[in-house]
Amino acid sequence: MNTFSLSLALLAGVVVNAAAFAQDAPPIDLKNPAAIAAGKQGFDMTCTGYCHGKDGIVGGAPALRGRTDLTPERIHATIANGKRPPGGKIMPAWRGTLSDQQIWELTAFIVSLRDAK
Amino acid sequence: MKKSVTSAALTAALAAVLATPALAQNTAPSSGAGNWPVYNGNPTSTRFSPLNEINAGNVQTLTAAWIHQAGVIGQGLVETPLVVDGVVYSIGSNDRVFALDGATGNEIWHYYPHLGDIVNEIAFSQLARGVAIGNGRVYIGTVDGYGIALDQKTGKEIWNTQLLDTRKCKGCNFTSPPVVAGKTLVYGGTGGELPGIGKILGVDPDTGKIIWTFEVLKNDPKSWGGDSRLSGGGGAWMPGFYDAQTNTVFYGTANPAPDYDWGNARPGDNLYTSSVVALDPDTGKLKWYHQEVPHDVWDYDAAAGQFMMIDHDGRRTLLHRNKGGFTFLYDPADGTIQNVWQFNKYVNWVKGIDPKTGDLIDRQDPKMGEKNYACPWLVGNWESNSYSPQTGLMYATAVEACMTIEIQRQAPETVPLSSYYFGGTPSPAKTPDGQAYSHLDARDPLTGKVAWEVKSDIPLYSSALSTAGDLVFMGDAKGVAHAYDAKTGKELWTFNLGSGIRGGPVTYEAGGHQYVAFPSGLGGFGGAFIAQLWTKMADYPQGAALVAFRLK
Repeated sequence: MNTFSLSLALLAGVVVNAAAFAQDAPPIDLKNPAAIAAGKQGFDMTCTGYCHGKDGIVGGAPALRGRTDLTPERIHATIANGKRPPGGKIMPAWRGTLSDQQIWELTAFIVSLRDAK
Repeated sequence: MKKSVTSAALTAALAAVLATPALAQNTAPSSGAGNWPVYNGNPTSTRFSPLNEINAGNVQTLTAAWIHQAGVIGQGLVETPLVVDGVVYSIGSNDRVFALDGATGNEIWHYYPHLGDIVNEIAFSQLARGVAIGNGRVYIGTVDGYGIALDQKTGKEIWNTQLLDTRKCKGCNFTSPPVVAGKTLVYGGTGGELPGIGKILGVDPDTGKIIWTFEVLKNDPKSWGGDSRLSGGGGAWMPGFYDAQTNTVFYGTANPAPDYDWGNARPGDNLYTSSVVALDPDTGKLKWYHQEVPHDVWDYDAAAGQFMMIDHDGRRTLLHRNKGGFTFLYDPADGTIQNVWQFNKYVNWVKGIDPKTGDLIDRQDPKMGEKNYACPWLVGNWESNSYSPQTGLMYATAVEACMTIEIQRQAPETVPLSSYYFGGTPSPAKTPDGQAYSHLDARDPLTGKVAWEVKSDIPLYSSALSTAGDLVFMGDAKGVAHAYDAKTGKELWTFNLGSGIRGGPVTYEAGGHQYVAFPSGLGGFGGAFIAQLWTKMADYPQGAALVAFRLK
């Protein structure tokens, strides 16, 4: 294979991968301040008190600040599906209760806590 | 499926009823010295035991005898176990019930209810604070709204009936045991932050059928303006107290919903929330009530405070703590207020409470749009206390912390099943002088006068236990069990159980010796909230283990 063909192939691979990635990507811009603000309001109303604490500052549920290990997709999936660790504390599934837009806005807020101490 | 009562179960229930002699009373087990037959220990609800094999002179040699692992740690082990004739009746997260040999911890039987899938959706899930025992049965209320009766000897199910429609009532369920109250088994449902109408139910102990319903929210438009009553919360989520002498069952009721008021969320005094109600257990009729916090806008509900009957000078006084930091003393016959004394050091939501009338003095309601700061915190001051007739002292913990309240308008119909109708966000805050701590006080129960006090940086967070051995037992949020000299407060013994202690230690006799059993495993929403102020607690492990101790 000559260099040009190789480059084309590589470029095609990148384009294909980018397309595949786009399907997993959030449907909203997670950095949009309006989305983050909407997510924060939803979080304060729904997630704080008994579980994740104000601004994700600890509670009876796992900490949400500084979580560089959580991808947006994983955050979205956890909120949508909930968690039932065997013998552990239950997190309800929010799909059906919250719209997908609302779940992505919550995701945007939690992502914004990544750099928070 | 668990839900339907099969004909086999019906036949069995009928056979059980016919087989036993007709009983005028739903007899509770003997409150003999070695037993812990009811949630708060004895018929006066004082969590005091006359046992004294273990005493201030030898408690240093107290050693672990056995450990029972509950197996599900979801909401810790926040129970007060019962003990009758040397058998320990324990209940853990997800309403799993165990009967254990009190001397060895070996399991005699267990019962795991098949809970409905709704428990994966609701707010107050997994929590179990105890069982009730009467008529040779063990009674529980489940987190999916069912009442269940088990044979005390075998653990076999006798009846299993739906008492609350958990989905319809926005998540209302049972997280505490019912009360054996004369002829009736009385259940208090959750409520508070749930946008429904909280209830107390009178149930037939032989069949599980509902005999009467007491709706905690008074049907009075002057008390509940507009249609606020439909989502007004209430409920009575902690065990009530049955007084056989007056045939009365007392409950502390939960706060109204929304917890916080943006201005006209629920106009009126919101009876009978945040109140003490005295009910006739045969009919559910209200005998008397006192609303400790009219139009409660702090979540200072009355449900969290245990009742105690104090005998003195030939008189009986009913003592009840309110989460707002005050202890109320009532005449149990008619609710006349005998005294009100403050037990929290930091209180700013009122200037005080009139000790003759119970009227709030100069209340400071949080306002929408303002930085509201209220003391005490809404969490803590939930656990039961203990009164020793031997020392004449009441042993009670208090958490000194405050909260900021940000009020947010919320439409009740938008509150999801898994969530709460708070109307805002309470966040923990330090006291005005920058502190957050807890203390165990020994006080005169009638006047509040302090005899001794133990301060602790780590919240002292379990219910208290006092004994005729002149000991006070208490557990902390880290998981350390403590024994103190009941007369002086000197710490005499500790043991690290490994996970926070939120339930109630008990003492009992088995095989001729005295045991003290501590439930370890933080759970509960106090455990969740408290980590927001005591941040190192976020790393404290969950757990669920019942640990029994005896002398070497």
